[in-house]
Amino acid sequence: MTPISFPDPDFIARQTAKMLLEVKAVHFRSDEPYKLTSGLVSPVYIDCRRLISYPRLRAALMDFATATILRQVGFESLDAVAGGETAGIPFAAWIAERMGLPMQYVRKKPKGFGRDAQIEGVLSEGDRVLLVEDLTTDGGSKVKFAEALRTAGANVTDAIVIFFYDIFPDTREALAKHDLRLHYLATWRDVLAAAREGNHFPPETLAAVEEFLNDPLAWSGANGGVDRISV
Amino acid sequence: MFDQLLECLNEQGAGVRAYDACARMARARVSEEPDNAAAYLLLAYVAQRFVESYDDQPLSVEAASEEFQQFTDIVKMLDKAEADASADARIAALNVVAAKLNTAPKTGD
Repeated sequence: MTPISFPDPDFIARQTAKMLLEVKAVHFRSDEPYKLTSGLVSPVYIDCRRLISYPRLRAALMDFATATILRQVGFESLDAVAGGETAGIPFAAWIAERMGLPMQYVRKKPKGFGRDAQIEGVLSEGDRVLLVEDLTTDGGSKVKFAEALRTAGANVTDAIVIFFYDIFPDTREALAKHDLRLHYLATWRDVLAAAREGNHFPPETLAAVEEFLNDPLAWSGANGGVDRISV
Repeated sequence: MFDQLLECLNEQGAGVRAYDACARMARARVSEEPDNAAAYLLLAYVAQRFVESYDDQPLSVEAASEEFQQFTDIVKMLDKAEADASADARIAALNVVAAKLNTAPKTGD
């Protein structure tokens, strides 16, 4: 049910980054950048949903996620695992299975009536629920999903993602203001290091990506996107 | 009048989150300004369609610009008809916008 060993967090980060590159979930495109949900213009984009189609790889990632939760949250500190619609749902299911816990999922919008109109599955008052999503950019969706779970009676203090952008200095603080701790397997810095090591992209592309990672708001502003965001 | 929605989009970066806020603003105006309810409802539909098409999906800056231009064109058309103050002009503009939206479904809808 649970993994029998706890890999080192640095190993988890390196391995996760390599896996994301292996399945081509990572896109670096400085000449034709992306516009993210927040309006930030970015030369990088990551599609964690590709991971669900690779059984061996996803099994390893879910073991990593479970080990991270057990180490950083605790063995007996959770009553359920909830996935955020839609990308978080499969990962929540696999993590719940590994931890022997019930599962729910959270809709982006309410459906029907009542305080649990955004929740599918059985949730009891006071349940300590772990929120699962595929990734975090500025933490905005984590806050919304956590609030929906709390409205339905859950106690939500922790969220886990496969990938954390980790490019905004105040993301953790913003989540902390909403009583949320974020756990993750890898960040852009890990992916950039793995991309350099594996020669996955031309050096000039990686240089542009690093420039963005060093000051994402300035890069975005200079490329027609927002130069400030708020969670 | 309707260009306040454009300002809202621009100020918030014209990403998915901005269109979501824009759709909510437009829906609120439906009840606040009953004389323009149909126009605001159409604009809410356009903004919500953007959200449903691109939430969780990669959106290139180029595609975002095209979408913003289309939204701008619709707002200008409705603003022009409103300024005209004739009921016929306003109904005609609403019909043009509705037909345009119906013939150009977004991928991913």
